[in-house]
Amino acid sequence: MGRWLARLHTLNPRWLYLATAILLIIPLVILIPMPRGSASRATRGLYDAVEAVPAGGIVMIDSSWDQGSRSENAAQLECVVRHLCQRRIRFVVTSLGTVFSPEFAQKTIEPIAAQAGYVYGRDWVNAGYVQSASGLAPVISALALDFHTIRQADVRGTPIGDLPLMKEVRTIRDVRLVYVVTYAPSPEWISFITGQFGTPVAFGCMSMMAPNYYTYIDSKQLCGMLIGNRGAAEYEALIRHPALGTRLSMAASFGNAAVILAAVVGNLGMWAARRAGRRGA
Amino acid sequence: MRRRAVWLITFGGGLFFLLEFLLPARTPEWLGGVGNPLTPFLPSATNFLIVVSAMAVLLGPLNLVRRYLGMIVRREQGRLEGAVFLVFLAVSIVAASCEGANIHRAFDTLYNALFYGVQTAFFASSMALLAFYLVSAAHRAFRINNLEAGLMMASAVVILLGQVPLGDWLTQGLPDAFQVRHAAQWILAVPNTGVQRAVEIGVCGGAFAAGFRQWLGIGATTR
Amino acid sequence: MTDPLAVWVGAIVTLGVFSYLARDNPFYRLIQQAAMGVVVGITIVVTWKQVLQPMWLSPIQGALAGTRDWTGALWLLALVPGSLWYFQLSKKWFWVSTLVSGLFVGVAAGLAFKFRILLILPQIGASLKPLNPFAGPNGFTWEGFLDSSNNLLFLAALLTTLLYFFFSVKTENRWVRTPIRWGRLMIMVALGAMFGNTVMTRMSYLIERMQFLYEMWLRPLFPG
Repeated sequence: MGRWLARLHTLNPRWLYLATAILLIIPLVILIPMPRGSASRATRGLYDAVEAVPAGGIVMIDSSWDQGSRSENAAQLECVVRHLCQRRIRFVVTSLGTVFSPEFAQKTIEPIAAQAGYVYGRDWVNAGYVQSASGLAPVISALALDFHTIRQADVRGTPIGDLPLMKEVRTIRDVRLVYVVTYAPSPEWISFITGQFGTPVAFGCMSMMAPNYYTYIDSKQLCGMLIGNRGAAEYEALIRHPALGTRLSMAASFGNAAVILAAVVGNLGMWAARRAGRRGA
Repeated sequence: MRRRAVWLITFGGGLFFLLEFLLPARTPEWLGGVGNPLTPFLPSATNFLIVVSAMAVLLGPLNLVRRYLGMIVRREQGRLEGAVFLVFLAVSIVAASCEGANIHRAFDTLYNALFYGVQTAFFASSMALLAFYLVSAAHRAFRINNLEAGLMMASAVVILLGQVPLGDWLTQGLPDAFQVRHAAQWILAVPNTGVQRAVEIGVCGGAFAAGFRQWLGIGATTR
Repeated sequence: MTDPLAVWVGAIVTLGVFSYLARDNPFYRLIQQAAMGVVVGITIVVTWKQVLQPMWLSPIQGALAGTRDWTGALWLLALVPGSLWYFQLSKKWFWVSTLVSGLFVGVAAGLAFKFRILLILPQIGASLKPLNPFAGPNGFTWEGFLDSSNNLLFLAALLTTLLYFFFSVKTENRWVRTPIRWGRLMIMVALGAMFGNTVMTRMSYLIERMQFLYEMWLRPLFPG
C-alpha cells in the first residue's frame, strides 16, 4: 500500500489532465442540484445600488472584457443587464481599451434587451470602443467631464448626438451608477469617478482579482462587486433568474475539487515516498 | 539637445494634468470665484492623445509583416507559419471591413468564423490550458512542509470550497455562521484586506516616487 | 454564436490548442499564427472604424466640405505627432519616436498623482476602525465584540505586513521579530486566498471551453 501511494508522487501529468477533463464534463452532462448559499456582502452591495436607481434612470456600463475573460465576465454582464431591464433602467455601454469588447457586449446584451422590449438608441446605447491613451486615467477623467467629445459615434457609426438616450448623457453627473465588468477593472474608475464626483462604482471582475479589490469594498470606495461566476450566480438568485452564472458555478465545484484532490494525492504520495525512503535507509 | 526636447515634452504633458488636479475647481469669492482654467480643455486634450495613440496601430503589424515577408523571401525556417499569419491578416482585414456593410452575407459568415471560431476559441483555449497545468502544479509542487505552507493551503481550500456550491453542500448541516462560505468571506474581508491594504499603501509610495522620476526625467537616458 | 461554420472552426481550433498538452506540434503553431493574424487584422479595422474615422477623418472631411466647423481641419496637424511613432522602425532615427512616447509617459506620470491620492487617502481613513467592544450604543454585545475582534485582527494584519516589507528595520530585535513573523503568517493566508481565487479563474476558462465543446458542438450532432 505504501509503495502504491509512493507512486502517486510521480504520476504522469497526462493522467491528471484526463481526469480533470472527465470531472468537468460530468456537471455539464448530468444536472446535479446543489444548494445555493446566500449572497455575499459585495454582491448584495451591487444589487442594492441598482435597486436604488429609479426607473428611467441611466447607468453606465463599461464592458471591457473579451475572449480572455469571457468565462466569468459574460455571466456578470448578463445578470446585471437583466436586472436593469427588469427595473426599466436605461444604460450606456462603453468599452475602454479593448478592441474586441464592443462586439462581445453587443452579442451579450442584444437578446436580453430585445426580450425586455428595449429599443436601441432610446433605452440603451453601445457607445463602442474607446482607445486608451497613457493608460485609462486620461480617458476616464475626460469621459466623466464630456462624454460626447470622447465618444463621437456609437458602435455602428451613428453620431452620438443623434441618439435620444445620449441627449440626456453628457457628463458623469447624468449617470446614477457605473458598473465596470472586465478581467481586472482599473482602480482609476474609483479615483476619477467616485473620488472626484461621488458617483457610485461597482466592479465585475475575475475571481483572481477579487482579493485585491476587497480592500475597496471595505473602505466603501466600491459600492459592490461580483466575483467570478459565484458572484454572477448569487446575483441571479437575487433577481430570481438562474442562468449562465449558476450553471458555470455548479461546474466550478468539480474543477475546484480536482485541484484539491490533486494536492491531496501529491502530498500523500510525498509522505509515502519519504516513509519508504526512510525504511529503505 | 535631443534629451532636452524629450524632457520638455514629457514635463509639459505631465504638468498640464498635474496642474489641472492641483488648481481648485473654483476659487473662493474673494479671489473672484474663477473656475479651473484647465478643466474645460481636458476632454479636447484627451481627444488629441487618443487620436495620436490610435495612429500607432500600424506599428506592430508593419514590423510583423516586414519580418515574415523577409522570412518567406529568404526561405527561412518558420516561413509557413509566417505565410499563414499574412494570409489570415489580409483575410481578416477584408472580412472586418465588409462586415455589417450589407455587401454580401458571406462576409458576415467569414467574419463570425474568424472572430468567434479562430481568435476567440484560440485565446480562450490557451487560457484553458492553464487549468490543466494548475492541477499538475497542485499535484507536484504544493507541498505542506511547514506552518506557512499549511496555512496557505488551508486558506486556499477554504476559499476554493467557500466559493462553489460544493462547499455549501458539504456544510449545509452546520449552523449558518459556521458554513464554509462565511469562512471564505471572513478570510477575504479581514486578514486578506489587511494585507492587501498594506501592500497598496506601500505600492502607492513607490508609485509616487516613480511618477516623480518619470515626470522630471531623473535618471532617464535616450539614444 | 450559433453559426455552424464558426462553431466547427471553433471546435477544431479548441482541440488543436488542447493538442499542445500532448506535445508542441505544427498544427498548434499554425493555429497560433492564424489567430495572431486575425487579432491584428481586426484591431486595425476596429481602430480605424471606431476611433480614427469618427474622431480624426470626419472632422477634417467636414471642415474641407464646409459642413462642419473650420477648426476640424486642424486635425491634419495630428499627423505630425502621429507619424513620429513609425520612426521606431529605423535604428538611426529611433530617437525621434521618443518625442511622442515621452509625451505619453509625462501624461501618465502627471495623472498618477491624482489617481494615487484619490485612491489611497480614503483607504487610510477606512483603516481607523473601532476597537472598543464597549463603545456601542447598547454597551457590550457579542456582535460588537466580534466586530472589534475582527477590526483588531485587520489592524494587526495591516501593521505587521507593513512592518514585514520595511526592509530598513533590523530584524534581530525580538520586539520586531515577532510582529514580522505574524506578518508573514498573515501574508500566507492572503496568498492562499489569492491562490484559491486564481484556481477558480483558471478553472472557469476550462469550464467555458468544455461547455462550448459539449453544448455548442457535440450535442447538436446527436439530437435527442
